[in-house]
Amino acid sequence: MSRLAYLKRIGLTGGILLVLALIPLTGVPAYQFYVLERGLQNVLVVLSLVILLGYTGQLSLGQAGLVAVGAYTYGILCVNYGLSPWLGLVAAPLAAGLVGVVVGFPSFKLKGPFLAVNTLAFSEIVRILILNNEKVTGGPFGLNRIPAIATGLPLYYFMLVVAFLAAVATLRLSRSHIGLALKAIREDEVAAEAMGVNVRNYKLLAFVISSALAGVSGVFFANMAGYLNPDSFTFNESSTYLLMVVLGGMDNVAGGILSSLAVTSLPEALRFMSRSRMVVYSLILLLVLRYTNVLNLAYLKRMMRRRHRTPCASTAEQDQVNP
Amino acid sequence: MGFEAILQILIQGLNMGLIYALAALGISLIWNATGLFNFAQGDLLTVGGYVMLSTFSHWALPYPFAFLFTCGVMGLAGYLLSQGYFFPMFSQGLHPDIIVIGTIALTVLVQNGILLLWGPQAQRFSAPFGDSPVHVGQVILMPYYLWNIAIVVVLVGLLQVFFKKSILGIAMRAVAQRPVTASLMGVRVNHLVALTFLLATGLAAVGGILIAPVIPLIPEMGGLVALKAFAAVLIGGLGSFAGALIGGAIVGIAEVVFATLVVSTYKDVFIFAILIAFLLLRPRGIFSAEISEKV
Amino acid sequence: MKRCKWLLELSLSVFFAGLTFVGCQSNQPKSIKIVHLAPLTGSASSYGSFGVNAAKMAVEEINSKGGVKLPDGRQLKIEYTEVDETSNSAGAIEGTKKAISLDPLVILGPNRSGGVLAAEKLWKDAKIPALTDATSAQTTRLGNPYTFRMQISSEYWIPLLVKTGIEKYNVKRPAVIYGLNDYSKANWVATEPAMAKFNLKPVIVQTFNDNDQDFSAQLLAIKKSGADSIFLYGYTPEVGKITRQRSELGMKNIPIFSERAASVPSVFDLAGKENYEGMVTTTTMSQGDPDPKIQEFIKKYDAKYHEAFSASHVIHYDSVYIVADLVSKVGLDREKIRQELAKLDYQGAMGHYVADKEGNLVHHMRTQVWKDNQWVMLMSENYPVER
Repeated sequence: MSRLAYLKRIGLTGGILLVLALIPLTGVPAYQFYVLERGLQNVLVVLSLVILLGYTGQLSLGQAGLVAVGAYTYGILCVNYGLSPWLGLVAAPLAAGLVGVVVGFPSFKLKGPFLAVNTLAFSEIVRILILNNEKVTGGPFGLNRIPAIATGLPLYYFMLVVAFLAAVATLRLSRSHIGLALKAIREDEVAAEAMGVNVRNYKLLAFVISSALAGVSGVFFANMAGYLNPDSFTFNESSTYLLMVVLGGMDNVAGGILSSLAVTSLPEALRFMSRSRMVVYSLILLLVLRYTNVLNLAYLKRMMRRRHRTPCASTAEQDQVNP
Repeated sequence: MGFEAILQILIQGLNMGLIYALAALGISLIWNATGLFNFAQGDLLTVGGYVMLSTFSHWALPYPFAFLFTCGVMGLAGYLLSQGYFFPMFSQGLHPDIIVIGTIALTVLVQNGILLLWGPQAQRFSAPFGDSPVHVGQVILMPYYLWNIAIVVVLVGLLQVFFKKSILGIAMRAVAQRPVTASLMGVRVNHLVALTFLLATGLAAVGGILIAPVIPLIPEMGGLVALKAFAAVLIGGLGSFAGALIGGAIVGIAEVVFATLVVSTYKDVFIFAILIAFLLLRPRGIFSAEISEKV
Repeated sequence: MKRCKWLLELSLSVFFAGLTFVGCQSNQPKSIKIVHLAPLTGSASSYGSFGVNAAKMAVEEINSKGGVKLPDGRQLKIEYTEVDETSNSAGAIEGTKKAISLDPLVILGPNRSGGVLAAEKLWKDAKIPALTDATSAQTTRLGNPYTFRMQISSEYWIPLLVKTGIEKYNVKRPAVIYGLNDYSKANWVATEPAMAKFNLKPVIVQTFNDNDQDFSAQLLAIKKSGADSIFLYGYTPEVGKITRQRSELGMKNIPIFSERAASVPSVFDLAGKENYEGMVTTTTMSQGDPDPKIQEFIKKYDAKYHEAFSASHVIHYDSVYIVADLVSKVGLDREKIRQELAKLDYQGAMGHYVADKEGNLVHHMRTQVWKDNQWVMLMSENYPVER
C-alpha cells in the first residue's frame, strides 16, 4: 500500500486506541472496564492471526495454546523462580516463539484443514501437559498469586501502548518486503516459490512472529487475572480468536481491533438474555460471517478464488498437500 | 497379559473407534463433494444423540421409529444448512478458509443450542438390547457392540452401493471430481451438494444414536468426539471411506492400548502425536483418497 | 464499500460496549442484596440449579413474611440474583467481577475450588464476605478473612468415607480412581493419609481426564488388582460412566465410595438403576436422616420444584437464613456481617453451623448409601471446631 494509505491506517488505528484510552476517564464502572480490558488483551492475539492468517493465509486453530505458553512461562518464572515480572514479559514471547517454531514446522507441507488440525493438536498437547504437571504449573489447581507488572489503570494503559506498537508493527510489516513475501505465499505458493520466495522459511517466520505476539497476550492475561488455569486455553478460545480475525476482515488491523472488542463484549452485552444469550451470540457471528462479503466488496474481490466460476470450491483446492 | 485381556481391550477400543469412524465418514463425504472440512461434524453427531433422546426416551416412541425419525430430522437439517448457509457461500466464491471458519462458528451455535434446548445435565438413554453384559468365556461383551458393528457395516455397504451403482451416487462422484463438467452434463450441482450434506448429517445422526448409550450426552460432547474424529479421518485418509473406518479403529484401539500399557493421562497426547507424525510423513493418510483427483 | 464495513463494525462495537453499561447501577430501593455465583453451565451444572432453587426458596419464604427486620426498625426484603460462574476459573473471575458490580452484601459461591482460588482476591479487595462451596482444604487457608466455607473440606470428609468403608463394608483392598481436576485431586490428596490412619493402603491408583469417555483401561487394571472396593472421585458424567462401565466389565459387586458429586440424580440416570445400587457417598445432609427439620425441608423442596436433588448442594438454603439472621442483628454493614460470620453459632434447618478459625462453617458430616430407591444414612459425625 502507498505511504499515504499506510499513514491513514496508522491514524485510524491510533484513533481507535485513543478512544479506548479516554473511556476509563469517563468513569466506567469496574465490571465494564474489565470487559474492555479483556477485549484489549484479545487484540494482541487477533493481531497475531492477522499476520498468520490474514497476510500468510495459514489457518491456525492453536493460538490458545500459544497464549498459554506465554502466560504460563511468565507465571512460572515469576511464581516459582521469583523472577521480576519485566523479565517474565521478555521471556514469555521468546518461549512462545520457540513453541511456534515447532508448531509451524509442518506448515511447509500442510495447508488448509490439515494445517488447522495440526495446530489444534499441538494446542491440545500444550494444554494437557500443563494440566498434568502440577509441581510446575499447579495442574488443575492452577497458578495463583502471580505478581503483576502493573494493575488497574496503569496496566490498561501499558496494554494500550503495547497494542498500538504491535498494530503499527503489523501495518509496517504489511508494507515491507517480508509482508509482500507472506502475501505472495497466501495467494499462490507455487508462484511465490518460482519468484524466489523461500516459502518454507517465510511461513516459519510468520508462525514465530504470531506466536510471540500471542505470548505477550498471555502475559497480559496473567497480569489481569493474577491466576492461571489450563481450562482458559481450549479449542473454544482458539475458535473465538479465529472468528474475531475473520469478522475484522482477515488482514485488516483496525478491523481486527474493533472486532476483538465487539466479540469480547457481545456475550456480556447479551447477559440480559441469560438463557439464550450464547445462542444469539453465535447466531450473530454466523450471520455476519455469511454476509461478510456484502459488507465489504473490495475484501471479497481480493478473497475470491481465481478459478471460482464453479459452484463448489474448485478441485484445485483439494490439492491440499504439497508434495 | 492373557489372550482374553488383550481381546477385551481390543473390543473396548473398537467400540469407541466405530463412533470416531462414523464422524470421520461424514467429514470425508462432505470433503469429497465440496472440498470443505466440516469442523462441526462432531457436534452434529451430538445433536443426533439428543434428538434421539427426545424421541426415544422422552416421548417414548419405539426404537426403530425413533431411529428413522432422528435420521430424517437431521437429514433435513443438513439439507437446510447446505441450501441456506454453505452452498450460497460456495457460489459466492468465498475463500475456503472462511467457509471452514463458518463450520467452526456452527460448532458454537450447536453447542449452545443444545444447552438451551436440553439443559446442561449429562443424559443418557438405554441401549437397544439392554444394558446387561454378556459373558463369553472370560471376555465380557455388551449387547450393543454387535448392534453397532452391524449398523456401521450395513451403512458403509449401502453407501458403497449408492456411490457405485445408483445414478445419484454417480452424479455425486462426478460433482466431486469435475464440478464444471458435471454441471455441463446436466447435473444440478447445488442439489447434489445439499444431498451430500443430508447424507453427512444423517450419518452424524446414526453416530449420535449409537454413541449415546455408551458415553454421557453433554452439550460439549461434540468437541471431544470431533478431535478424535479429525485424527481418525486424517490418519485413515481424508476422502476415503475405508480410511474413515480404519482410521477410527486405529484411534479407538490405540487410545485404549496406550492407556493400558503406559498411562491413561497422556493417551490423548499419544493420539495427537500419531496424528502429527502422519501429517508430517504421510498426510494423505493410509488410504489416499480415491474419489478426488489431484489437479 | 470498505467504509460500510468500518461503519458497521464501529457501530457494532459502540453498541455492544454501550449495552454492557445497561443494567448496571439503577436507582433501586434499599434491599438486602445477595448474589449467588452458581455453576449453571459447564461440568458442575448438573447440580448448579439445586443450589439456586434452594436459595430462592429461602428468599421467598423470608420475603413472604415481610422480609428481615433490621436493628434500626426498617423492614427490608432480600434481593437475590444468580450469576453463572460456568464451572471454570475464568468464569469464576468474570462472574465475581460481575457480582461485585452489583454491590451485594454477601456473595454465595463460587462452587469449584479452582474458581475460589481464582477469584478470592477479588472479594477480599472488595471486602465482601463470600460463602463458598468448594471442598479442597486450601481454599480457606489463604489468609483471606472474607472467605467462608459452606461445605466440608475433603480433609475431614474423606476420613469419614474411609471409616464407613472399613466399619460397614469391611474394606481391605481399596482401589482409588480420580479425575484430574481440582475437586477430585483434592479428594485423592486427602485419601492417602486417611487410609494410612486405618493402616490401609490403596492396592491401585488410577486417574482419568475430565471429558474422557472410556475407562476400560483403568477399570481393567482395577479388576486385575483384585480390589474389593473403588474410591471414585470425579464429576457427574465421568462418575456416571465409570459406575456403569465397571458393571459392564464384570465388577458390579464391587461397591463404590464417592464424594458428594456422586449423589446427584444425574449420576443415577447415567449409571443406571442396577449399577447405582449400593453407591456410598459423603454428604452434609442425608435424605435418609429421620430428623424432622430435614424431612420438612425435603417435603417443601419437592412440593415446590418436583425434582430429585442432591442433598449436599442445597445448603445455601441455610446460607440465606444465616444472612437474614445476621442482618437482623447487625444491619447492612458488610464488615459487621463478616465479624459475625467469623464467630457464627447458628442452628439451621439442615444442621448446626459453627465457625472455626479458618472460616469453615459446616462441621456435620454424613455418609449415606443408596438402597432400594432411597438414601439410607450410614454414619454421622461432627469434626471438631478449632476456634
